[in-house]
Amino acid sequence: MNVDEEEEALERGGYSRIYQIMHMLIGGGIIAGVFLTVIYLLDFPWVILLVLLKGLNCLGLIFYPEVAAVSVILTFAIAYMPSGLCGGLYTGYRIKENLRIILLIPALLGFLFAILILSWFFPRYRLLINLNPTTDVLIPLVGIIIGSYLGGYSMNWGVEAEEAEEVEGETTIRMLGFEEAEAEIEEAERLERLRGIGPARAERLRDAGVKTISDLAEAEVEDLYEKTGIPRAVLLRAIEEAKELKGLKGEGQPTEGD
Amino acid sequence: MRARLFGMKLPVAIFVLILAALLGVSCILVEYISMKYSKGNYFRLETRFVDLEFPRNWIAVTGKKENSSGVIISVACVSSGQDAGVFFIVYDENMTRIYLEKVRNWASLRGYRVNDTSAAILFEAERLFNYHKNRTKVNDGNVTLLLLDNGMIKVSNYEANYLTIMIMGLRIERGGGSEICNGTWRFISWIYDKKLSFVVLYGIGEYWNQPEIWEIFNHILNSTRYK
Repeated sequence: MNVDEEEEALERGGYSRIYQIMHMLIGGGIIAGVFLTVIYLLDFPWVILLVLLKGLNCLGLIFYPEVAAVSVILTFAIAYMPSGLCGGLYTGYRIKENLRIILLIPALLGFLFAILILSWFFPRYRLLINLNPTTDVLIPLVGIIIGSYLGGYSMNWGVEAEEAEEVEGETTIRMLGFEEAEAEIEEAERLERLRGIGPARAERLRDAGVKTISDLAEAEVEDLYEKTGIPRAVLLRAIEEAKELKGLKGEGQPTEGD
Repeated sequence: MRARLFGMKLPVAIFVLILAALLGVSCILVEYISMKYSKGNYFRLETRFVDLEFPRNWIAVTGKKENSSGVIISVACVSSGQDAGVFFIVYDENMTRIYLEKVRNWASLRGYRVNDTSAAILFEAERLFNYHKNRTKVNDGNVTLLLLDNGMIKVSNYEANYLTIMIMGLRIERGGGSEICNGTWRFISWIYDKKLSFVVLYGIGEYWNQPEIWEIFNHILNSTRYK
C-alpha cells in the first residue's frame, strides 16, 4: 500500500467512525425524545393503566400498591421498549456493521440523555442516588436495550439472506451458462453432422471408439473400415470433413502443394 | 437469518409478542388483584387504623402523615368524576391530644362552649370554608356558608357528632372549564380508644341528594371497621 492509498484508507476510516458516532448520537437522541414524550408529555402508561382498569371495572384499584407493579410492566411495554425500538430502527437503518456492539451505545446514550434532561426539570433526578435502582434505572435500561436491539436487527433482518440469495442466483445463472456451453460443444462434436453419417453409422463409429468429430479427425480409414464396415469412400470424406471442422487439415500431413 | 413470524420480520414479531405478553400479564395481574380485594361491587381497603369497602369504580387514596409526635392516617374515596366522596381521618393517641389542644384553644378564643368532637368539627368546617373563600377570592368570586343541620349519629357502633354545611358559589373545574355550584359537606367525628376519628361526606351540586350516592355512603360507613 503506498502513501496515497494509506491516506485514503485513513480518511475513509475516519469518516466512517465519525459517521457512526454521529448516527449513534442521533439514535440516542431519538430514544431520549420518545422516552420523555411518551412518559412525561403524554403520560401514556398512566393513560393505558386507567383505560385498562376502567375496562376491567377496577378503577378503584389504581392506588393499590400491587397495581404499581402493573404500572411498571405497562411502562416497560409502552414506553421503554418502543423508545429503544425507535432509536434502534434509526441506528440499524444507518449503520449495518457490528450491530451487536453498535446498538448498545444509542441505548445507553438515550437513557443518559433522558436522565440529564429529567434532572433539569425534576429535582428527584438531580442526585442519582435518589433514584430507585430497579424501577428508575435497571428496568428502563433493560427495556431500552431490548427495544434498541429489536429495532436495529429488524432493519437489517433478511438483508444478508437476500444478498446470499442474489449471489446464489448469479451462480445458478453461471452454471446454466456452462451447461449450455457444454451442450453446444456436444452439438458441435456430434458425428451425425458429417455428410454420409446418419444415426446408424454414427452408432457403429461410437461402438468402434470414435465418439466425436475430434476422434474421427484423428482416426485411420482402414482401421475404421475394418471395425465398422462403413464404405471407405464415406469414411474418407467424413474424416476429411472432420479435419476441416477441427482445422487439422494440412497439419502434419502433406498438402497438395507439397 | 431470514426467519419470519406471522409475516413479520422476526425481531418485529418478537417485539409485538413481548408487547402483547406484557399487556396480557398486566390484565391477568389486575384481575388477580381485583379478585383478591373484591367483595361484590366493592373493594376492601385495609389501613393501619381503619378497614373499609368502597365501590369498584370509585378511587381510593390512602395517606399517612408521620412524625416524632405520632401518626395521622387518611383515606379518601371519591367518585371517578370527584363529584362525591368520603374522607376518613384517624389520629393516633398522641396526635389526638396535640390536635385537640389546638382545637380547644381555637374554640375558647371564639367563645364556643362545645365538646371536643364538636369543636373539631367546627374547626374543620371553618378551615374548609376559608380555603374555598380564599380560592374563590382569587377569581373575584364570593362564597357563602350555610349551616344545614347538626346533631348525633351512629357510625360503626360509635356515637358521633355531626354537622352538615353547604358552601354556595364554589368554583369547580370541570371538563377544561370552571363553573359555579354549591357543595355540601357532612363532618362526623368521635373519639374511640383515645383516637380522634373524622368522617367527611361530600357531594357537589345535585350529587348530594342522589339516592345512589347515599346508598354508597351508607355502605361505606356500615362496612368500616376501626382498629
